[in-house]
Amino acid sequence: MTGSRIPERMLVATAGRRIRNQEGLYVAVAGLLAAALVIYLSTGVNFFKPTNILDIARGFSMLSIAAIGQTVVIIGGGLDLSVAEVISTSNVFAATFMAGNNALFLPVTALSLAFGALVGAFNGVLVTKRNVPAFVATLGSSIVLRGARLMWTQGLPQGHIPANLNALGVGATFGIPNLFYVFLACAVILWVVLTRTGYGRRLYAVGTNPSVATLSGVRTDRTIIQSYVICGVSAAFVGVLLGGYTGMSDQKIGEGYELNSIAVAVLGGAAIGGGQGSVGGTVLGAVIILVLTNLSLLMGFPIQSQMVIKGLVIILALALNARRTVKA
Amino acid sequence: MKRFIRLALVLGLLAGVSLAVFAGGGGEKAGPKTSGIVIGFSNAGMGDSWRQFLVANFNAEVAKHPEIKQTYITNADEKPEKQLADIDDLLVKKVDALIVYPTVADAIIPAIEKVYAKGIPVIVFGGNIATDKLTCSVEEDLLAFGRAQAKWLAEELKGKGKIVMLSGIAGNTTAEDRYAGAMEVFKQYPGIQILDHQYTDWSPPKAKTIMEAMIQAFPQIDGIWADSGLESWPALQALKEAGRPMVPSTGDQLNGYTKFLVANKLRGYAYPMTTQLSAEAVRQALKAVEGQKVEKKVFIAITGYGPDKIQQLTRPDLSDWWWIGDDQMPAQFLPKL
Repeated sequence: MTGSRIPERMLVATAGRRIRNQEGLYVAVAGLLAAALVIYLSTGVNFFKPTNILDIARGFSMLSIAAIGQTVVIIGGGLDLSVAEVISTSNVFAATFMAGNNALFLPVTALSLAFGALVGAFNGVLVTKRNVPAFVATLGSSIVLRGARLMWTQGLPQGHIPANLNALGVGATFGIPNLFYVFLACAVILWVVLTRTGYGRRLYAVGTNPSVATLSGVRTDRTIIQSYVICGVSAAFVGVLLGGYTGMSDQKIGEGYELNSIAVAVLGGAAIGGGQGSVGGTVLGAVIILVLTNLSLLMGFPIQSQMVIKGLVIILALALNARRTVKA
Repeated sequence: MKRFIRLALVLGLLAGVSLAVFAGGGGEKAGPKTSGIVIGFSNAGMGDSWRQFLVANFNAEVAKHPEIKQTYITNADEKPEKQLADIDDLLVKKVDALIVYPTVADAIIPAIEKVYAKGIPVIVFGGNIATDKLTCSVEEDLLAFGRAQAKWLAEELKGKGKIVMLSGIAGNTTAEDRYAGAMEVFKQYPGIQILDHQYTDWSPPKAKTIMEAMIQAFPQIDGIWADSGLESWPALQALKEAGRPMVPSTGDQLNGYTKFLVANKLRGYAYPMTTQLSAEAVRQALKAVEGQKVEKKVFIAITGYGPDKIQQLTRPDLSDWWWIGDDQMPAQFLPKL
C-alpha cells in the first residue's frame, strides 16, 4: 500500500495550501519580533536577552511536541482531547517507577511511551471501528484515565524524578537547552513521516476525503488509528519531559495541554475537519503563542489582558486562515 | 367496579405515603443524644492527597469519640448532582448529623437547607456558603492566611525589599481572599516594593515559566509571596537554575515545598490550608447532636510554620504530596503509602 495510488491532484492541492498558510505565519512571527524590538527600544523590556530566549525554548519544546502529535491527528480528520490526561498519567507513572533511579530512566520512559501508544490505539479504534465521534471518544478516555490514575495513586503520587531526567529537563548542552534538542529530533522525525513517507501521503488523503482515499486503496481505519497512536506517544513523552522540567510528579501537570495543543496546531494552519496541517506551521504557531505569553509577562500585563490578547490572536489567525482556504 | 378499584388504590397509596411521612417525621424530632450517634459525611471528592488527609482527620477525630456508633462517608467525584443524591442516601440511613464538604456551594444550598429544616444538624466546611439555614459553617480565614504569609515575609525582609507575588486562579475566592489579605499587610510596609503579581492556576510548570520571565524582567528579587507551595517550590527552582540568590518565600504545608526548603537550607513560611477542618466539623456536629450551643460560624485556629517548625515537621522520606503538620494522628488513620 503506497501513496502512489492517491490522485496526484489531491496531493498537489493540499501541499499548495500548506505553503500559503505558512506565509501568513512567517509574517505574524516577523510582526511579533518587530513588536518586541519596538517594545525593547521604547521601554527597555528586553525580550531578546539570550537567557530569556533559552527559557522560552524549554516551554516551547514541550508544547511543540504535544502540538505536533495533535497536528497529526487533526490532519487525519480527528481531534484528541485526552492529551492532558495522557501527559499527567505518564508523568506520575514516570516518577513512580523511576523512583529517583537514573538507571530506570530509559526503560520507564519506553514503558510510558508504550502506554501513550496504547491509549492512542484505544482512541483510534473507538473512532474508526466503533464510529464514536473523536471529540466524545477522546473525552471519554480522558475521564477514564483520570479516574484510573486517581484510583491507582489514591491522590498521593509516589516516587521521584531521577537526576538524569531532571538534567534533561533543565540542563543545557553547548548553551542550548537539552529539551530543544529533544524537540528538534521529534519535529524532524514527524516532518519526515508526514512529508516523505507513504504514511504521510495517506494521512493527508484520508483527512481530505476519506471516501476518495478508501476508493484509492488506502486503509483508512489503520491510517487514522496510527495518527492517534503518534499523538498518544507524543503526549506521553511530554509527560516524562515535564517531570524533568519541574522535578516533580503532579496529578494535574498536563492540564491545559489539550486545548493549547489544539490552539497551536490550528494557529499553525491545521484545519479541524482534516487534510491540512504541517509540522512547520505548528512549530510557528507555538512560537507565536509563547512569544506572546513571554512578552505579556515581561511587560507585567495582568493575566486577564494576557488571555484577551492570546484569544484575539487565535481568532484572528483562524479568520484569516478560513478566508485563505475559501479562496484556495 | 373499576372506579371502586381505582379509588381503593388511590386511598391505599395515600395511606402509605402518610405513614411513610409520619414515620420519617418521628425520627427527625428526636431530642439530644449522647450515645449511639450516627454521622454522615458527604465529601466533594477524593481526587487529591489533600482530600485524603481530610478523610484521615475525620476518621481520627471520630475514633476519639466512643459516643459515635457509626459513620458513613460518600464521595461525590466533584459532581454537585451526585452530592445531592449522596445527601439523600445519607438521610435514608438516618444520620443524626450531616457533615458536608461542598462540591459547588451554590448548587447544594437547597439540599443543606432541606436537611436543616428537618431538624438534623448540618455542618458545612471548606468554603463560604451563602445561607444561614445550617447549623454551623467551619471555615479557615483566608484573609488571615494571606495576612500571616505577608507579615512573615515583610518581617523577614525587615520591611524593605522587592518581591514578586504568585496566586492561584484569577477570580477564585480562595486565591483572591489570600491575595487581598496579603495586600492589606504589604500596604503597611512602604519599604516593600511589589514588582509583579501573576496567577499560576496552581500549576507548577506554569508557575515556573512565569517565575522565569520575572527573573528576566527584574534584576533583583528579594522575596516570593506565593499563596501555595505549588508556586513557591517551582519558583525557587527557577531562581536556583538561573543562578540567582535564593530568597525567603511563603507557601502552604505541602511536603514537596518544605522538603525543597530544608534540602537547600532556605528560609520559608508555610501557612497550612488545614485538613483538620473535617475534625473540627466532627466536634461541632457532636455538640449539636448532644444539644449544646453551636455558633453559626466557627473559624479554625491556625498557626503558621516558620523555618524551625518546617525543619521539624517536614517528612523527607515521604511523598511530595504529603501535608506536613496534618499528619499528627495514629498511623492507622494516615493515607496509605
